[in-house]
Formats: sequence, C-alpha cells, structure tokens
Amino acid sequence: MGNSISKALGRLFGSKEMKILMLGLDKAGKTTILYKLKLNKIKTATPTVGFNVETVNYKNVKFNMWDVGGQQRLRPLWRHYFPATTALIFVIDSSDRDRMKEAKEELYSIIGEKEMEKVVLLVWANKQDLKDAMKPQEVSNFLELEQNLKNQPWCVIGSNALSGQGLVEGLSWISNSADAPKK
Amino acid sequence: MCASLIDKGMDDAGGALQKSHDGSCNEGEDVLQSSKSMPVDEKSLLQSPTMINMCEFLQDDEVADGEKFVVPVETTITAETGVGSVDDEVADDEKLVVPVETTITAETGVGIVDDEVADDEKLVVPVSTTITAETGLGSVESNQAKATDRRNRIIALDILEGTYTEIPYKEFANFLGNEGNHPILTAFIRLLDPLPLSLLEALFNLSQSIYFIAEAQNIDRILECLSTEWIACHPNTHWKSSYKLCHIVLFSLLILNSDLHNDSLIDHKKSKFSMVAFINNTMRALREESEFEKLQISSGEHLIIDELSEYYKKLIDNPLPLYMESRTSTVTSDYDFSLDRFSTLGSREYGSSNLRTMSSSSATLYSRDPHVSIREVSAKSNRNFHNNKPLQRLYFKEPFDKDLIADGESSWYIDSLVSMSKKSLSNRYSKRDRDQVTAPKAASKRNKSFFGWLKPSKNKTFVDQTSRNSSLSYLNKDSEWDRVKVQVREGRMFIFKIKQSVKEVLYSSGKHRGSIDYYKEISSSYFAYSLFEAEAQVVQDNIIIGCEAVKSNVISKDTKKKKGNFTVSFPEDINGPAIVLEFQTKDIEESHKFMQCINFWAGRISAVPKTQFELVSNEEYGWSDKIFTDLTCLDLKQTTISEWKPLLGLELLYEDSKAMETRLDDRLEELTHFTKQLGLWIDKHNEIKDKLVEVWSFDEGCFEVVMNNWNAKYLYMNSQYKKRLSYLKALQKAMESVPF
Repeated sequence: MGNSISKALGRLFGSKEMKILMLGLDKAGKTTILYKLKLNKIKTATPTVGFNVETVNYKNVKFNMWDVGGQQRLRPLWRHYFPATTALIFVIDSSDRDRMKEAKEELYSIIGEKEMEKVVLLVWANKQDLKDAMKPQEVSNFLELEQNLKNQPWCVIGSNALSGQGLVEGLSWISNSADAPKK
Repeated sequence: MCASLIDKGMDDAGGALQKSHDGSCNEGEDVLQSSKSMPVDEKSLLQSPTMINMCEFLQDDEVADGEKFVVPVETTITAETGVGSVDDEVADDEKLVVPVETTITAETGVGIVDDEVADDEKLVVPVSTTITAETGLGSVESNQAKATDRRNRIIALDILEGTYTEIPYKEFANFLGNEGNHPILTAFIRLLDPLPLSLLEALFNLSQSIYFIAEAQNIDRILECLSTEWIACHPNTHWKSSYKLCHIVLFSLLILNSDLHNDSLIDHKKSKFSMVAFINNTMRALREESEFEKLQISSGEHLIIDELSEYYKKLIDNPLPLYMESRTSTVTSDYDFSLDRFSTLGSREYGSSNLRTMSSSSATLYSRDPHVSIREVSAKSNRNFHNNKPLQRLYFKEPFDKDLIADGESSWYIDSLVSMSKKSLSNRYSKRDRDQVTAPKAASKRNKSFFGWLKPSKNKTFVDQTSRNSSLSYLNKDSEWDRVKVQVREGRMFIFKIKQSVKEVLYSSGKHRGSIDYYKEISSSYFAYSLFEAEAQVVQDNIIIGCEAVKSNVISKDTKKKKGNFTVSFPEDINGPAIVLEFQTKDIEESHKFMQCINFWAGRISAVPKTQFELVSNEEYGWSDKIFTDLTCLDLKQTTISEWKPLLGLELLYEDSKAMETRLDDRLEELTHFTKQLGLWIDKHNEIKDKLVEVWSFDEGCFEVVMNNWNAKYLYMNSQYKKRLSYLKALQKAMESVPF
C-alpha cells in the first residue's frame, strides 16, 4: 500500500530530489502531518536516533521532510539544515489566533536568513477543520507575504492534517513551483 | 486508558497498604516492588472509581514521614468498598493507612496524557482541591508534593526499565518531552546519574535508555533537562555553569547524528555535514547565545572547538544507539502523545478505506507514464474480492443504509444484467500493459484476464476529457457487447462477465438475489471497482440519433423499446489514465437508474476539492489582483508567468483515510455549498477574460501562456462543476427516499 503511494509521489515529482524543511510553532500540527505523509507501512530506512525525518524513495526521487523545532536558542542551529533546501514548509495553527503573531515572527526570522532567500515557501494554514480557523486568505493577509516576499514563490494552502486535506496539494504546488522557470 | 491508570493507582495503594503494616514504608522503589506483589484478585476488586474514593486519606501516626493522613475509620471504608481484604487488615487498629499518592495517581494519571491538566507543572494542584473538597482535610499540599515526587520517580523508573505499559515504548521520549511531564522528565534524567564528563557520552547514555526518536520540541525539552543535570554533575568545566550552552551542543550533536546516519537522506554525500560546517554552525549558535546571556566563553573557545571536533570524529563512526524494545514492554502502535487531536480520534469508530487512489481533479499528471495503465489499488481491491476477504468500507454508515440497500433497486442498490462494450478504443494499451500488470503485485497475475477485457479507453488529454465522454460503441453498429451482471452498492461497482455456457441468469429476485457468490460462480471473470470520483452519464441525454442509423444497437429485440446506454468514467489518476466503461441496458429508464445509483455513491464517497480554490499564492498566472489594479507600476515583460495546473488532491493519501467518514447530510451540504461557490468562481473567471486579452495582447508569447492558463483553469472548473453537480443531484434525489 505504501509502495503505491511512493510510486504515486514518484510520478508526482518526476525525477527530482527535494529536501524540504518543515517548521512551525509547537502544536501547529507538524508531526501529525508527518505521520499522515508517512506513507510507509513499509519503512525502508532504519530509523535514526533523533528527529523525525520522513523520506519517500522512488527510483531516483527522494523526498525528505525534516521536523525541526525548538527554542529560540536552538534556532541558529537550523542553519545546519539550510543548505540544499528546496522548499520550506511553514505550518500554522489557523485556529490559534493568539499565537499568530508569534508564528509570523518566527516565519520571518527564518526566511530572513540568507540561505533561505530563494527557497520556495509553502504555508500550511493547518487545522482548517476547527470552527474558528482562519481561512488561507486571512492567514495570508496576516502574514503580509504579498508585501514582504518579492523574490520567491510562496503559497498559503488550507490544510487539515487529520484528513490529509491540502497536504498533497501543497506538495504538488511545491513541485510545480520548483519547476517554474526562474527569470 | 483511564481504567488502567486507575488500576495502576490502586496497585500502588495496595502495595503501600501492605507495607504500612510491615511498618517499613519507604522509598519509591520499595513501593513499586510491593505493588507488584499485590494479589491479582485484589487489584481487580479495586477498580471502580468509587472504591478509590474510599481509601483516599487515611493514615496512621506511626508512619510519620508525612506522606499519609489520618482519617477515622468512620468513613466506613468497608461499607463503601466491600473489599474484604482491606477490611481485615484495618480491623485491628481501626485505622487504614493509604499513601496519598493513591488518589493522585488515580486522578492525575489521566492528566499526564491530557494537556489540560498537564500544562501545569504542579500536577498536584487540581488534585489537592478535589481532596480537600471531598474529605474536609486541609493543609495537605506539601505532603502531596512529596507524594507526587514519588509517583514521578516511579513512572520514571518504569520508563527506564521499559516496564511502563501505559504507552508504547516508542512514545516514551515524546511522553517525557511533553511540557506537562517535566517533573517526570527530571526524575528520569536523575536516574541516569552519574552523567559522564563527555556530553556526547551523556547523549549516548540517554539514547541507550529510551527509544529516542521524537518530535523536535520534545527532544528539545529532554535535552534541556539533560544539560541542566549535566551542569549539576560537572559544575567546573569550561562550560562554566551555563546549561544553555550545553543544551545547544547536545541538540547540535543530535542533528549531526540524524544527518550522518540517516541513510535515506537525499543526496547524501553532498548534504552530509562536514566537520567544519558542524563546528562553525554550532559555534555560531553558542556565540549568539553567550552574547545574549552576557557570558564570556571566548576565553574557552578553543577548548570548545576541540571538544566539538572530537565529538564529530566519534559520532561519524559511532551512531547513537537506538534503544530497542525490551522484553517486558509489548505495546507497539502508531501512537503519538503530542497529538491531542489524534488521540481523540481513537474513540470514534473508523473503517479504513482502501480506495483507488486518484486525483480529485481529473488532473493533468505531471509525469505521465504510458506504460502503466492499470490501477494498482483497484487490482488490490479486486484481489480482496477475489479471495473472499471483506472489502473495506468506503463510506460513513448511516442508520438507514442497511434498509435502503436491502430494499432493492434504489439509489443505494442496483443489480441488473446488462451489456458491456468489448471494444478497445486504442492500440496504445496493448499487450504490453497486461504484462505490466504482473510486475507490481503478486496477485496481479490472476487478474490478467480481468484487464484483458476491461481495456482502458483511449488516453485523452485533460481537455478532451472535460468536453466529452466517449460513446463510440453506441454509435458503431459493429460494436461487440459482453453479457455482464452489474451490481452497484456501497461505493463499489461489481462487474461479472457471465460465462458463455450459462444461458439463464437468475434475475434480481429469488434466493440468489444479489448473491455475490452466485455471480462469481457463473462468471468467467469479475471485477470490483471503487466509484471514487467516478461519474456516470446516460448517453441518450447527450446524443439524440435517428434509429435508422444504427438500428441493431438501439432497439431491443424483446421489448421493442429503445435501449439505453450509460458510461462510467473514472478520471485519469496517478496510477493510470482515464477509463471509460460503456454499458447498454434494456431501456433508457434503467440507464438512468444506474446513473443515479453510481453518481449517488460516487458523490457520497468523493471529497470536495475546495482546497485548491482557496489557496493564496504569489504565483502569477496572468490574472492576479496586481495585474488589474496597479497595472501602471508593473513591468509586465519582467513578470514570470507560471503555468496553471490543477493541484493533485489529498486522494493520493486516501488509502487509510478517515476523511471518508463524512456523513451523508454533511456531504450534501458540502456539495451544495461547493457547487454554488464554484459557479460564482466560474462567473468571475469568465469576467476577467476580456481584461486579460486587453492586458496581455502586447506580447504574443505572454498572451499565449496566459490564455492557456485561463483555458486550463476554465476547463478544470467546468469539469468539476459538472461532476459535482451531478453528484449533488444524485444525492438530493436519493435523500428523498431517506425515511426521515
């Protein structure tokens, strides 16, 4: 079963290698997303002590998602991950309006890094299933991506990690955008 | 879980109870020990919550370590519990000794898991209020703190020994790292004492002790705790007393470990950290931190660099060990502590669905592989079917479903003998495809024959697909038809190709009505198809043709009525191209019935693809607000125009989906809303066309790209609109027959 999904993703992404970094405040739903995307009732790689890293292998396609996070003082360490990152996924709990500002600050502190300048940014406005969730448009307005990100493709997609809604759309968008001819 | 925690709480209580009679009530380990020795029958007797209340606070002056309370026996313990053994033990001195932790464990045991309680580090507080309220005993807090400590130590020890059974061992790290479990974490880390002088070795010790793969935030907290403890053990190193710096180093080492030793990482050679990069990054983080904290590490910097390079050298050859399950711990499941919302799902009943994976959008695939034309998942579902394994449920079961399916012909169920087109429209999917079938799955070989006659129709482009469905067999008088039995129910279409030798097929009556086994028996081959995202259409609704043209095909010999035709199309998906199956029924009315039933089930089990219409992005397809509002400030020639493509949908993930579990009326509402909204979007899309022509006509290249985008989106929206509308109609019609 997992196999066919890997294959499917293989088709989806063509022969590409992608390193995708997934960040976000705690409780935003990153791990749920990883679990949902885990796709691997058959796990190929032996697990490695430490972080959740999910990998999908298909022929020459490798698609990696790192769940990283942690406190302020660990943030400089994220630089470890930056080189060779194709895309940054930032996960937001759309229902947690109180922490939206915090999330925004966090997002900008990451994409402000030099290494992240050209990276494709996908924002998952997660937890769309919750009643109070902000719609993608609201999230986008709040984050002011339009005003602040001029040089990189970005996209806000509503998602529900539990059902999987929006997840593949997001990956699919990343794959499209990484394709896009850069001028 | 609740019950088992209570059970555990009572174990401890019982253990301590016995102990107090020995007069030797002491440290956590002893309690733990004795709790294990508690007789089983007593455990089982002590399970109900009311029984817990009974032994809440009772105490004995002799046990003066402050962890017990005195309550006169008037509290009628025996009456409340009826636990004989307790009664006996207490009878002598008229006092019952029970450590307070009993209650706490019992009541907060749930809290450990539950964030509401657990976000407060003082697990004691909510409990103590309960206690005072219930017992009238005051000033218990300090005692309880001790009791909580002890309880935490016990849990920590259980985790260390791998005997903690409340959660799977793979979740221990997430459990400890959970914000609310800080006291347990502290207790756990203390159990690792004495920590070695090397930070890397300390990390080794930790990863040897528990299954150390967890969420980043949880790892963060565990490492922070480890570093505090390490500093406590080694106060006089060049790290001075800054646990924060050690924390950074530990975290960095763990990242390094994940990077060096995860074989599956992309492009591994390139991305593996070099020692220089590792040291530089880590040093940078350390400097930022020490600046922030006003620490002076510059004097010891060379020592730190030496230390880091030593760690790097060691780690590159010796990955951190992964703790494996101990013999005592047996629970394994995908279970995650930090997923509050996840865990609530556990209580609901979900049937997992094994659907054909396909794109919601009848989307253009990004990389087409013409060699694979067979849907693997379909094949799999058929294999289940073939082996008489139960097929997975595809829909949320409503109370009325059973009756309506049993009622006979309705939106819920149809079963009839019809003809199915033999034609193969294309030579492109020739034998090679069938050979392909054998490759991916062992079971496919047996299915070969199915695919032989279920040829996919010509692989149409996305544009073609939206504009028409093929009905060529109907128009061609030489078309060949196979006799098949088709049954539609519960989200699937079952097709049985009846053996030539079977002349008489029992109709939908009598004892064989609908019996799958019977059909299997008389069929040379059969197939089960999930109706996910499928759409049925009656040919005669679209094509009106004079009878003379293709007479033999149109008029039924027996009834002299016009035959009906319907098609079922499955959109192109990630596993293969679109498939159109053609059927011919004895009259048009029956075709309509099939259409209703198929669209009803398809609509019911297919999610609405609204996500991609709501997304917000800065990608320019030619019609962003910017183009229309600030045209003057934009240099259109410098604008990059992306190609518009529908996004693939979540159906890709639907193999184990729970999202299928949408109630019928919710789905109806969703569809109603979506089609309405989509209608508006289409109108809006139409409105911008003139403007687009105006804006982009200055450059032929741009114009073409933008217009292609416009067309692609228009066609996509239209095809979605048409399909969802037919689902909506089918669902609305079906709802008329729902009894209430």
